[in-house]
Amino acid sequence: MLFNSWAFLIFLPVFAACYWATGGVARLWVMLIGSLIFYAWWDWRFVFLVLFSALVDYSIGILLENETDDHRRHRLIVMSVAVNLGLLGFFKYFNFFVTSAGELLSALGLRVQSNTLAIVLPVGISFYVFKTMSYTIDVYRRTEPAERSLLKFTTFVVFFPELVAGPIVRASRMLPQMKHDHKFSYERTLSATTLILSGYVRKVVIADSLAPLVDVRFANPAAHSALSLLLGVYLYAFQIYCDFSGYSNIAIGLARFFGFDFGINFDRPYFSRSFSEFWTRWHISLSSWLRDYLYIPLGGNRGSTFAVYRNLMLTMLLGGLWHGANWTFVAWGGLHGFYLMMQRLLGPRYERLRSLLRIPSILSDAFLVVLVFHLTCLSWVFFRAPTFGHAWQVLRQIGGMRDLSFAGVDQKMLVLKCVMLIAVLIAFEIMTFQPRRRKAVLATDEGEKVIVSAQVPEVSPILRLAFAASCIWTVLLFGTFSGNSFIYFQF
Amino acid sequence: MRDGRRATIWMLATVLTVLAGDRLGDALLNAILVRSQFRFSRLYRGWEKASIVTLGDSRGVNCFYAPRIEQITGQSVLNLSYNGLSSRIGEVVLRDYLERNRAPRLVMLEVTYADAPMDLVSELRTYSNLSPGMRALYTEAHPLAAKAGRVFRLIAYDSEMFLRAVSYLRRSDQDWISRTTISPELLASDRAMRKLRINTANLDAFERSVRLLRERGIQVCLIVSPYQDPSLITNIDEFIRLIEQRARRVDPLLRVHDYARSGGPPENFSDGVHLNARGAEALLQQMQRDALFTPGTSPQAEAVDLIEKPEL
Repeated sequence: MLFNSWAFLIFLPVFAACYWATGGVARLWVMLIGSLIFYAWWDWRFVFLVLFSALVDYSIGILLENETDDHRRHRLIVMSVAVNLGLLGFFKYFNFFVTSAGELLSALGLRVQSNTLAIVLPVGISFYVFKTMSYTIDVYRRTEPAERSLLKFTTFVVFFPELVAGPIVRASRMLPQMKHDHKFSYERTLSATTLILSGYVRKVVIADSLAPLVDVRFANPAAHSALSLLLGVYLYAFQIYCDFSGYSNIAIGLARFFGFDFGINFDRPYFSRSFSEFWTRWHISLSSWLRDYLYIPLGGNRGSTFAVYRNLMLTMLLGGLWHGANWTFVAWGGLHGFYLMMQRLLGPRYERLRSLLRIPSILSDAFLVVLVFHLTCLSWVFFRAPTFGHAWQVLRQIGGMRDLSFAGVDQKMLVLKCVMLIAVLIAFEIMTFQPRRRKAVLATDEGEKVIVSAQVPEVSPILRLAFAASCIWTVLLFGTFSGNSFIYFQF
Repeated sequence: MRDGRRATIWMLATVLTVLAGDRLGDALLNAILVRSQFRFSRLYRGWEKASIVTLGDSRGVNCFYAPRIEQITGQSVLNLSYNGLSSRIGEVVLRDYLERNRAPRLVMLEVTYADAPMDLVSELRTYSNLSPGMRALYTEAHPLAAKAGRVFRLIAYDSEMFLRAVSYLRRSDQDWISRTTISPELLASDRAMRKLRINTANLDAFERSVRLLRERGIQVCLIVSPYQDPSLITNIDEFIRLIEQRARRVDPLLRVHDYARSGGPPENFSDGVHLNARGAEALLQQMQRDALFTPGTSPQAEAVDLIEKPEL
């Protein structure tokens, strides 16, 4: 079920009514059954796969906690990781690896027949596999206790707001919040509603308006001028940002409405002054996952310069591969790994140069924001292009600078509309940026300290009403109602 | 319970605010829409007195360059062609035009619009409040959205058409024409063979359009504008034959003026199927030489005169 579908608009109030009408174990059952219906709406057969993944990690979690022998514990965690990565590898990467191996052997002059399988990629598998895998790793590290209730654990795994496209909410954040019932809160409802509506504006108004303009440019780059393609790349940068941050806002808002705090997943990433900062602002739940479960275990910042560069590159290459079974995603990850390496290499020199030339920090920051944004856009070309051939063609045409006139841009009216929407988004992000609030912490019902979402400022109910109404008018006036799925569903 | 009551009141207040703003916005945007100089706004405002009306899809937009036709003929011209406008939509456009405006002397149709799909229908919501015909087409294609449009009026303005109407608030859209030239890359890569879609509903609508015009004594001129490489269109002759067949059911003297193969060099095109300003100029000159704009010179125009004379 898509958040931007009519089915969901019917599902949500029914689910909410059942959720708030119940309590205790009954509420957990409502959450579980509702989430399974939400998932089964896409394909009921894959419900069993999610449940299997949950059952395996639930059992291994308990065994890990009970086990004292290190060798056995090690075997258990290897089993959990193998099952999770096995599921992911089979459903997501089997055909990719078979095809790639076939191509490699063909390049070496060996004639082989690549037998691929007609495998359907289960929606959200990359997200729930990472979620359950981090749980067993935390239990293995003894940083988290094992969850004894199968109902609670399964509900945590399948909780519908973040089941299919994240954010990747870890057990350490979610399970403690499931210890007792949440009370319906007026304040929470208001902030959740505004967050959800802002997510819909990002998705239905901005991302879906940009999508057709981006699609035509990347489908046939030869048919477009340099300026048209350059605009296409910029538009894609905002399409993917609004698509995924919109989904995240809706997911976080829904969770907040039901009493859960997920934290934030995007924090104005295109205002980053460095790539390390970018990765603390973009898809935060994934980047922190990769940091904690891949980069640091690989050695992190410890060791020789070469080791650090190797760790960075490996993490980003695998992060790229996580996004999809295509070498273009690996290239995207590789580019970001390269950027991070260059940042480590050149960053201190740039700082020395800046202080030597006494460049005001505001100018330097502006330069860095523009630089990081453009290098990110360059990496998006590989992320978006279906093949390397398309990516090269886009870059070659832009680099060739043939026809930089606005007259050569297709669908000018829609392009202007989208540029205007992006300008409004940037203005909104600047207006609502509250540096002090970004660092603020809030005591939740459970007493846990959680960074509050900076997406919706704290305002009076009247202002919230005005904001909500404006969001709805914006959706009515500029929304795209073609039922486009979210980009991150494919990952 | 107190929190629940407060949240319900807040949500109700939000819904009422949204609906009130929706109606206010509708009134405001409708006023903008009908004041625009955009072609369809002019059509629905009424009182147009064009002597020549042209119609087609994007190929019609690019080949019927209204200012040049006005220069050639010395008569007022309104080009109602629009990107993706199919003959089914065209039928409604013509009917609405004749209901609201003075009947033109001549209507020129770029007949490959009978190949266009119905994608443009979703854009028609903008004018659906001004035309029962448009509303019927929109409701047929998007019944759910049409229902939603009755609750939220602002949805009608969520279209590229409305943006164009705003853009042309103070200036006419009739002088727009593509001024780009097909790129060598596109010329080399766009070599796929294609077929014009033969759609019975579109052909029927085309026939009804011709009948409507002829019944009112309006001269009809049917043309096929040039393709950059007509050999890529595998069924062009069959398509023209079908169109001509349908036209002749209404008026046996009607024929299609086939310029598909008269495009000239690639510099006359902005892509494989659309003329640019240079190409349009060449085509219009050719049409002038063929006397397509001259009243009473085409066999069919003479036929009109013959029909009308006894009534006089």
